[in-house]
Amino acid sequence: MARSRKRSSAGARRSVRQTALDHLRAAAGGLLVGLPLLWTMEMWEHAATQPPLKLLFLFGLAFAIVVGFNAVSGFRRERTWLELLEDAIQGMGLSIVVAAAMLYVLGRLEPELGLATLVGRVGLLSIPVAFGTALASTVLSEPEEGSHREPVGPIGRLLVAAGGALYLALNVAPTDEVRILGAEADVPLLLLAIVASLLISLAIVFVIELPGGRGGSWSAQGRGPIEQPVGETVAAYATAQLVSLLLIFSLGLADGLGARALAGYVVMLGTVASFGSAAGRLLVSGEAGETQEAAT
Amino acid sequence: MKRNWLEWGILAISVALVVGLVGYLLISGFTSAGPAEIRAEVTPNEGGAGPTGGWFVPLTVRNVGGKAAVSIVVEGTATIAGVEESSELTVDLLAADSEVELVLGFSGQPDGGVQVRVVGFEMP
Repeated sequence: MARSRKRSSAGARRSVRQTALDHLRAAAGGLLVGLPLLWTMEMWEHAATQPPLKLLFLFGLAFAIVVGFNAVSGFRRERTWLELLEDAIQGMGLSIVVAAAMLYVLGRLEPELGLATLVGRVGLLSIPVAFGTALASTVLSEPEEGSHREPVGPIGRLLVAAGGALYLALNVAPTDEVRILGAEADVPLLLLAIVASLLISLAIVFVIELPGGRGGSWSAQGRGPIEQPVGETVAAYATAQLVSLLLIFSLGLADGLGARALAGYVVMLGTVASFGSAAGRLLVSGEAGETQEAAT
Repeated sequence: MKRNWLEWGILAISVALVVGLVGYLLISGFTSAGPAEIRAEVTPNEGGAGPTGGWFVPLTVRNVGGKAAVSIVVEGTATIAGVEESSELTVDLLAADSEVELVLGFSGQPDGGVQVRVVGFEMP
C-alpha cells in the first residue's frame, strides 16, 4: 500500500493521524472492491476444498500484481524496491485483517471449521480486498506535493491489464456459470466470444474516449508492436486469457476436464477477464499517448 | 523516509500476518496429503422427543482426513417398537479437520442403540 501523498519533504515524519487516515481509506477501498466476493458462497467453499499450495499460488500472484500496480500506477514518487515491497506487505497485511474482520461479522469464521479452512478462507478473500487497498492508495488518494504522473510503458500496462483481469474474473470464476457457459458453448459461439472480447477491449481503451483512455488519433500512439492499438489489444487479451487459465487451474475447475472443454472455460471466462484488462489499463494509460506525442 | 510508530506497528503486524499465512499454507501444502476420512458418531442417550412428535438423536460428523469432502451421505438405523427404521442426512461440505453437528430423526424412541454409517461422499 502506498503511503501518504502529502509528505512535503523526504525527511519529514508523517503524523499518526495521517497514517491512520491512509489506512482507513485503504480499508474502505478494500471493502468496496472485496465485499461482493466476501459475500460469495463459492469463495468460502473453494478455500476449504482447494489444496493449500493452489491458494498460496493465487495469494502470491495477487501479491506480485499489487507490487507491480503500486510501482506503475497513479502519482509516483521516488521509492526504492524495498519501500515498494514494504508498502505491498503492509497492504496485504491490512487486507488480511479487513477480510478476517468482515468474514467474522458475516459469521463465516466459526472455530469448528478447523484452522486449515479458516486460514485458507481469509487468505483467499484477502486477495480482492488487497486489490481494493492498492486502488485506494494509488488512485483515490491525493497527489503528493511535487509528484508527477509518469507514462507507463507497454509491459507495465500489461501488468495492470493482468490485475484488472484477475480482479474481474475472480468475481465470476468460482461460480457455476463458468462451467455451464464453457461446457455448452459450441465452436462458432466461442469464436464470436473471442471477437467480441477483442472489439470491446479495443473500444474501451482506444475508441470511445473514456477518461484515462487513449481515444482519438491512433497515429499518436507508440510504435512498438504492443504499443499500437491492435497489438496492445491482442497482447492484453492474451494476458487476460492467461489469467483466466491460471484462475481455472487454481480453483480446481480444470480437474478432469478435456482440452476442448478447457478452451471453452478459458474463452468464456476471458470475456470477463478481457473487460477487466481494458478497464485496468484506463487507470494508468491516460497520459502515455500524450507523452509519446510530445516526444515525437 | 521516516515512519512514525503507528506505521512501524502496522508494518510489523503485516509482516507477521503475511509470513504466518504463507508459512501455514506452505507447511500444510507439503504435509497434509491424506484423503478425506469421515467419521459419524451418535450420542443416543442425549436424544429427545421432537417438538412435533418423533425422536431426535444428536449426531456428529467429523472429517479427520487431510482433504475436504462434498455431499456426504450419512445413514442412521434403529429399531423402534420392533421395526427397523433408517434415517438419512446429507452434509454439503466438510473441510479437512472439521466437524458438523446434526440431528437424526426417527418416528419414536429407539428400542436399543442407533447405528450410523457413512454411505458415501464426493471428493472435490
